[in-house]
Amino acid sequence: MSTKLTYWKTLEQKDRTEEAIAAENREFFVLPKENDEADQSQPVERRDFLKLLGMGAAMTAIAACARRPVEKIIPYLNKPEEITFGVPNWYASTCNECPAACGTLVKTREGRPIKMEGNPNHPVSKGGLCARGQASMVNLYDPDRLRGPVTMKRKAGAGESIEWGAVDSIIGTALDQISDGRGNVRVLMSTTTSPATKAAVQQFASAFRGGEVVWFDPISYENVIAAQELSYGTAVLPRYRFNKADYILSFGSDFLGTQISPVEFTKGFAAKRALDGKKPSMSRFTAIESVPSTTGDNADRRIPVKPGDELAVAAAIAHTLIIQQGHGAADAAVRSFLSSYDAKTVAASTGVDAKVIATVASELWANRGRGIVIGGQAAPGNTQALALELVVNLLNSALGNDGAMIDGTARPSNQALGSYAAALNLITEMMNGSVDLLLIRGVNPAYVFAANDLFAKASAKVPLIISFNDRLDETSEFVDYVCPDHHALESWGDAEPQRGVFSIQQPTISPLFNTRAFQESLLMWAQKSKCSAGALETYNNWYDFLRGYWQKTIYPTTGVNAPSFNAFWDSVLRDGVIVANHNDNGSSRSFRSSGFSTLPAASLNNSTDMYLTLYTPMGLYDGRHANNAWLQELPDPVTKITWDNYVSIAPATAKTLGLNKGDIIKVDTGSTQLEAPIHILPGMHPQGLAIAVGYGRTKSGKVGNGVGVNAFALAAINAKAANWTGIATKIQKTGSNMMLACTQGHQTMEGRPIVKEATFEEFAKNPHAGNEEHHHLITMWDKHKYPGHKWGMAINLNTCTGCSACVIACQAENNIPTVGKDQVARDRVMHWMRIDRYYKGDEANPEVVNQPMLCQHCDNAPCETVCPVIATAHSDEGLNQQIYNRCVGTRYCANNCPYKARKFNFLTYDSAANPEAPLHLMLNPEVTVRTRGVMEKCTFCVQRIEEKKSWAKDRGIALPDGELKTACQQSCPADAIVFGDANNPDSKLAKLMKNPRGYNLLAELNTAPAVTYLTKIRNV
Amino acid sequence: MSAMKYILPLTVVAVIGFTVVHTLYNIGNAQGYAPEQPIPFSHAIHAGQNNIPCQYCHSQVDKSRHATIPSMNVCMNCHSVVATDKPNIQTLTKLYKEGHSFEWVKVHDLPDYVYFNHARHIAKGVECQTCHGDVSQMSRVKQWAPLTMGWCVNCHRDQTPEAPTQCVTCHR
Repeated sequence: MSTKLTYWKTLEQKDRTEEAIAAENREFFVLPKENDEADQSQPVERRDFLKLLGMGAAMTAIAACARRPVEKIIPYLNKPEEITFGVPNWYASTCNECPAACGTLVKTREGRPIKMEGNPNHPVSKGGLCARGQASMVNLYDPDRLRGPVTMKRKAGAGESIEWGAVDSIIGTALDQISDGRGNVRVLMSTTTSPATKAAVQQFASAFRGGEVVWFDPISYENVIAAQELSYGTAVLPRYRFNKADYILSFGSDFLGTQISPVEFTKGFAAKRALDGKKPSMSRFTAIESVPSTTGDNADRRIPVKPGDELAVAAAIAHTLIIQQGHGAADAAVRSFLSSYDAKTVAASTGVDAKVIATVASELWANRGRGIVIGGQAAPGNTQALALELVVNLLNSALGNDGAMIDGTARPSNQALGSYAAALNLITEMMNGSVDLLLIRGVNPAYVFAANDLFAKASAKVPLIISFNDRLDETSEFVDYVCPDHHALESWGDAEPQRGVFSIQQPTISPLFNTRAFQESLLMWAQKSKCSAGALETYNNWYDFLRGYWQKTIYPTTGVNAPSFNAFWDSVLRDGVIVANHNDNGSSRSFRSSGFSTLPAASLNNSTDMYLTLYTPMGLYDGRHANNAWLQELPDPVTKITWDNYVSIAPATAKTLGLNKGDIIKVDTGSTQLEAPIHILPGMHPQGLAIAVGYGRTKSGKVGNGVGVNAFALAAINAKAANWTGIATKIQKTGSNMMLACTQGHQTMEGRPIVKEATFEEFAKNPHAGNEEHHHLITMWDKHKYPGHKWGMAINLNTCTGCSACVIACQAENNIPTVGKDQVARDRVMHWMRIDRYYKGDEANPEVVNQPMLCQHCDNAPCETVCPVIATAHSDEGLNQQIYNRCVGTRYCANNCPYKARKFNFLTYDSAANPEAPLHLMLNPEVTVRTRGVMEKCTFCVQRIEEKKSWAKDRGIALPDGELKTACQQSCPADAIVFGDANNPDSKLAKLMKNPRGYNLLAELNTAPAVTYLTKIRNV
Repeated sequence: MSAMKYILPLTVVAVIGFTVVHTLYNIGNAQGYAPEQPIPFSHAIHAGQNNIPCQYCHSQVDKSRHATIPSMNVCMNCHSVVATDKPNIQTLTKLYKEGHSFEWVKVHDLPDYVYFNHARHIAKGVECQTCHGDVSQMSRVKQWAPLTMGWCVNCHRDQTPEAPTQCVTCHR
């Protein structure tokens, strides 16, 4: 059965290369780089070693005799009533790290936020929070943020700092001149879901004749919106109800990773695949994509296509369903468009099996009204991509999915407003010299439009440009003033991610630097100048404006009957969210086929050239997180590479071209050339190339500068659109090679049955499918006694998507350092929680299993028995305790851990032990910071366990099941992790441990782990 | 005579041995530490002569892991009227009015890898004096107990039922 299947993590392991076998035989590979001069040129001789040893001992003895440092206590002057020193305060707020606007609970200690968690009461994100949201702390405390406003005078460099008063009067005067005469004011903004911010910006812009707000997101969904308008008459971003969908078909979509609202989508998707009901049922998911993504990795059936062929396959499915089988109405426009896409022709052109097309079509029909067909964000504004979205709409309407599964009427999404068309139109206007004032907030146009210096040239024609960005980024050298905005955790705000769902954003810390809310700057300038900005001028500050907006505009729509607005406001601050629109059942809309007639004649691409596609990385998103070390060091969920972007290429193609991993190639799209290393990625189409955007920042800060290459430059940009996919590309070897820091291949498990899986068919017949093996183990020893609690965890491999939110949540909770590219390459990455990604089968299109891996807290822990100083010991609640101050760093325990769950501090990593101010404010005071020479590992969040035990003791109650959540469990958008007390027979955990799908890792070793995994089930 | 031949060197060895072991054993033990404070605040006057309960000033001790040094406004509750002619109180008042706080020197300073929770001990009914000694007699506070691991663990073991002695109780 499944245990006999061969799983592999890297191509080297699959091919059993000598390198891979050698790596497996080495427990700790200290020197991954062959020519590491620093380590090899000066070997230490025995005598020198002894001298150093003696010296070290003497120094340690002297150091230990010194009087310990004197510490000071500085009490509050007037203690704030709500703050108790040592006790956290929680504030409900909204995440601002991408436009999805998930609800958050922010944990603060003594007035400084230290952890973000999902708000379980938020109807959109329902308690989950992604890796980017969790890493928000690093953005807040980023030492590279601007300390205050700066006058740049369009020069590169640091600029001169200036007082807010001086900026205000200069800009006020400039605004007067503009409002007197010509008045083309443009505000270039990334999507905000904040209704109050939108109102403030609109009021400011409309104070000028011809003032406009230009919405632009580098990651754009404008095709989806444009296609909705063509198909249904309203430009709307629909809400996808994955929690109801029995069948999902995606075309290049990354809805589980980066697209629109990934936390919400993952919640819904996972709910349909948890297999926790009495009757076995789960959704089926087919992914058609050109870049292996987090989403495609979770598909039951994944079909790789060449970049740009998604449309042909979608149209062939529509052709089969509508024309061939006659399902759904089809008028002349639809018929004429689909006529050139019959399944056979498309199969011949794209290489996708015609039988698969027929199967998918029939499955779609069988699940009509219960399925979702979803496109991707690739190729913003491109007609081919627009056509794909139109076909997606056609399919959804023909299948009756629109309305039931795809809501464009009741509670549609506000999570994407931006378009390349608008931004490129602005650039044309700037070139024409018709823009008098440009305000830039939350976007970095000089970086996104770096190719041919597009933005740089356009900016020269604008007399006054002001940026609100939080640092001196690439754009700053083309602006006159940088007036830094607060970080979202320092600022008031609100959000309406979906129609009628309002959430509040509260400041959780006083501004760290001399920054000012962007909205407050607009308000000040409107008041300082003669222009009349309506309501904006009647408020004293942004907070009053926001509150006023809620009182006048939002409160009446909520239907809440509060005694007063104050009472309502207080309840919103407490809950973080209020739902005004309780109708979330969309109604189906009539489909208009006229959109198809606007498209150019269909053509199938039979060429054998290479085609490039750009994609959004899980960590860095559009490049805004480039200076965030947590996200730079987060292994990409698909490739497991950190600290770089790279061109992914199919194994077969790499073989043909004689390319090895890390070879630097020249990528030539005709208009742009750049050099980047390659990564040989199983599952790529042989004609496909893929590279992540968001890297190659030159002015993001100390962490992100010079990491990777700027792939935005490769987007084919014309006057109206930027093409992200199906870009004909030539590649050429350069002869050089670079090392990519990949974490996969570390901690190999040498083909032991670590992941177990079965098909849904097998599972429905026998719930033990794939998990038949049971070991009858004998032992000489008595079992441990657990008189009180016995902590354990269950992880559902079927719902885990590999999104890695847990990895960053754990990092935030447990003060885990980042170590940098060089140390990652030496297998010294410190994450306590990692996601192992296993491949199975053909390297052209392998199946994938993601497995979260952490300390298994074994009852018979192999690490405990080998520690010579008893620094790791078993607790009477089943925890495997690691005591840092006792550890002398022999690393015996790590060598003896069959799960490779232990991490050793080879150095004192300053990122945690001695971080640059103000990053030190981020540390969790409940968790010891570790230094060099100490072993560490997952503690099952023991600080949270003890806190909740204490909480229950104070109330004199037994700790209720579910009250205690580990950091990874809390953030998991898929609810794949359950933590609890195995001694409590009613706990969710105790039930999952008896689940027929449950198994322990390497049970035959009789380590008796406290972590139970539930088998992966594929619905194929 | 022959016995004397051994007694002297043995004594020397024993004395040296004892000293070495005793010194090593007490590394990091700050028992008796009584640093000078920015003003000579006297617990003997406040808690002793005036019988002010500990929790009047250390009001968060039953809520937090920290006993918490009272904020300056707590001092000023009384000292806006009490003993205003004393130079130290004038220093206090001046500092408070200028918006500054005293920088008190920490007396009981556990290592960073040790977790201690005042609130849990208070909830169990442990007297402040059990660990801090009779502070009401101290004009300058000193560390009364050794606060070593052995001292903590012995007390935990002596309770009925035994207080937790798992590693993670204090090290996390």
